[in-house]
Amino acid sequence: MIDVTSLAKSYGDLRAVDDVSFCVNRGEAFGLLGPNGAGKSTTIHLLAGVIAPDRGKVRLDGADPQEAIVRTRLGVSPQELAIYEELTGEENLRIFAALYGLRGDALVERVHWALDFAGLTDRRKDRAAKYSGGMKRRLNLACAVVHDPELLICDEPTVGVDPQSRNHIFESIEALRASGTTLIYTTHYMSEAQRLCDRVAIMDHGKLLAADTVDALIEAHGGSSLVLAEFDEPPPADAQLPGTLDGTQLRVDSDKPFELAAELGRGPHRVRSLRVERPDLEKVFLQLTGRSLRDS
Amino acid sequence: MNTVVTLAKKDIKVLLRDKFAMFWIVIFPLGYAVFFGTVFGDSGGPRAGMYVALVDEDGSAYSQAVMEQLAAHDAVLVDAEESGALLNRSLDEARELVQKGQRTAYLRLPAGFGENPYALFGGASGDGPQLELGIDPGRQAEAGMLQGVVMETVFGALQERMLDTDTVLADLGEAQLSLAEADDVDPTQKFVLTTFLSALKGFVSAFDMGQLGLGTSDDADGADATVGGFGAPLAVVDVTRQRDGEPRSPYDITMPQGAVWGLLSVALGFGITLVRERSSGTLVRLRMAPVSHAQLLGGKALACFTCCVGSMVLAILFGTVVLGLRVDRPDLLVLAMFSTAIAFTGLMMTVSVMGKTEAAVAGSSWGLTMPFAMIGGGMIPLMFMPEWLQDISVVSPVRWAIISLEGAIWRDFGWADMATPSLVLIGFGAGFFALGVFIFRRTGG
Ligand SMILES: Nc1ncnc2c1ncn2[C@@H]1O[C@H](COP(=O)(O)OP(=O)(O)O)[C@@H](O)[C@H]1O
Ligand SMILES: [Mg+2]
Repeated sequence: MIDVTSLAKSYGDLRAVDDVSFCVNRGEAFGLLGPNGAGKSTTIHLLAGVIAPDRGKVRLDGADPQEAIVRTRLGVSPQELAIYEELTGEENLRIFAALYGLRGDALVERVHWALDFAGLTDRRKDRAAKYSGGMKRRLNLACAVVHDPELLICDEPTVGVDPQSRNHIFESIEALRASGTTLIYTTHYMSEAQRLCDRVAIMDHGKLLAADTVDALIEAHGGSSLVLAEFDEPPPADAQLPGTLDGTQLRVDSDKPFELAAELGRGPHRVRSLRVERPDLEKVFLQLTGRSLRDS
Repeated sequence: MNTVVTLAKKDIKVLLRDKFAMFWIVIFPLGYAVFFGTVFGDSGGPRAGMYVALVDEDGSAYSQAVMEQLAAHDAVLVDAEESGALLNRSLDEARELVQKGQRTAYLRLPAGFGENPYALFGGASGDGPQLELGIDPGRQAEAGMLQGVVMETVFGALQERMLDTDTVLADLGEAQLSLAEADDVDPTQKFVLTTFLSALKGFVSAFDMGQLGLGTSDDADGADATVGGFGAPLAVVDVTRQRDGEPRSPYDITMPQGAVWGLLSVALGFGITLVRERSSGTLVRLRMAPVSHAQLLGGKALACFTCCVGSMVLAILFGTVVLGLRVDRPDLLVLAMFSTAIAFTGLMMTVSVMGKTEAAVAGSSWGLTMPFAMIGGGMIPLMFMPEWLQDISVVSPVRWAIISLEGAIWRDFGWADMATPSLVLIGFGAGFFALGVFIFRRTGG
């Protein structure tokens, strides 16, 4: 549905997006995972046709989203809140519904649906300025889906949101997913990408480092699992143990973590606790960039 | 087109909810017009007193008494000769003065007025000589007041006359005589009236009228009420004022000025909202929707244009209803408002690119618009400016806006006179708009 080829955009010397290519199939949920400043939002702006690429192109079913009419099929929830705080939640939704070509009964019906979707039906007559941060985020998202788009693009929709609203947002996006909406979702939380996305692209310094299903990424870049064991007593220095020993703590990288764990359990030293850590996207990111996602 | 209208409606709604902006767009201009209009008005305007030209065709002691009473009235000014005597004009002279707006009205005391002072009391109307008040039909408030004042003075003079017993007796004798001579009066009535007049005559000669408490009372309300009761002894004659392109009241000057302040506030208000949309991300969000650059700017322009017209209509309506402003040429006013709104919409576009942040735009745009307002007659009226400043003021759209509004309201403009300011305003609008859009695009909308 979306084809991105060799996309590039620079701000002065800074290559915000550097030769990025990927495609997203209809009905798929595609994640863009990367730290702040990776170039996610710039990529979204290029996808939404707001800025023109220096090189490369974006195609939505063959059409260029820089043409206004093509954008009717997109719904974008930008990272920065983009609602009119002087207006009520309902008025905001009506404006966006109208801009996407809805009229009359269809408009009224979709606005009601979107208010319900955002959990704002009770507060629809209040000015957005009076909403909490989480409610504003929900309205921001509702404005993106009020016209029932084929493709929903969410740029870090859960940033700076209280846990309750975060859950609400997450669940509403999952519901849209279930109803068949194609999704492009950026985040710097790997847990969100892992939970929501069929495929995830890892982005850093404007470059797309890898893109695949979560399992395949871990398979390819996650490396070995980590086995952590704690013994009752420090094993003697000459004990035949793999990995590194620090007092009673043992850390072992292993491709066969469960076999190793079983072996340690049977071994001569009494094990107090045993933990196996499978590699995750965090590990994939560390592997690909040499940095931790959390630190950056 | 739907998109542009949707965007414009949104912008107007947002502006209407901004109390601060609404103060500058609605309250301030009206307050400006009222305040400065009143200040000007207290020095020689119509509120200081009604200036009346006197036409005494009677020349009797009684007509003289009426005129002196009128001259003594607080609300009325009359002309006096150097000697202090009241200046008597011919009817033509007085009518011309009123037509030119140099006098509020004229009062004519026709020949024979003093011979029959009681004609005021129910003499068949049109029968005896009547007083005549000549005034512009547009000056309804003043006409009403003057009628009251004139009646008051006439009754005042009549009272004075009645305090003099000899005069009353003479009058009664005259009345008896004319009654006896009259042959169109019913004999029964004639008998009753003759008896009554004889009795009255005896009554008056037996008492001194001065002791009856008929002192001089200056009860204006009473006089006003009497006007209707005595068969309209005062005829009001329409003397339409000539349109000679002079302001009729200080509001003719301060109302267009106030309206222009409102327009500047509209332009600045929308210019600032455009910057706010840029910095808050809603502008980018709109561009993510199927909205083109041109539609975005079109929406802003339409909203600004609509609010410019709205604020002018509001100001003029307020002026006509509350301040007695009169629009000579409503058709030209439409053209004036149209071209003025275009000029200020263009100005809005330039204002919006005068900085990156709201504060920067607010600051630098006042730096641009204040000089426009100052040299363009927004503060000191154009007519009071020294000539060299009037020459410089042609670079200010404020000047042209004021001239075109005044042109339609009182300057006696025709279509040809209105062409120059209209074209200049539309030119200003187009130029400012193009400049704004150019910079807007350069800096990446
Ligand atoms: N309009 C802009 N002008 C200059 N630099 C920009 C602009 N937008 C983004 N950048 C820079 O481009 C890089 C990528 O930014 P962004 O796409 O917002 O990253 P992300 O969304 O992944 O946090 C950052 O270094 C940012 O500072
Ligand atoms: Mg971002």
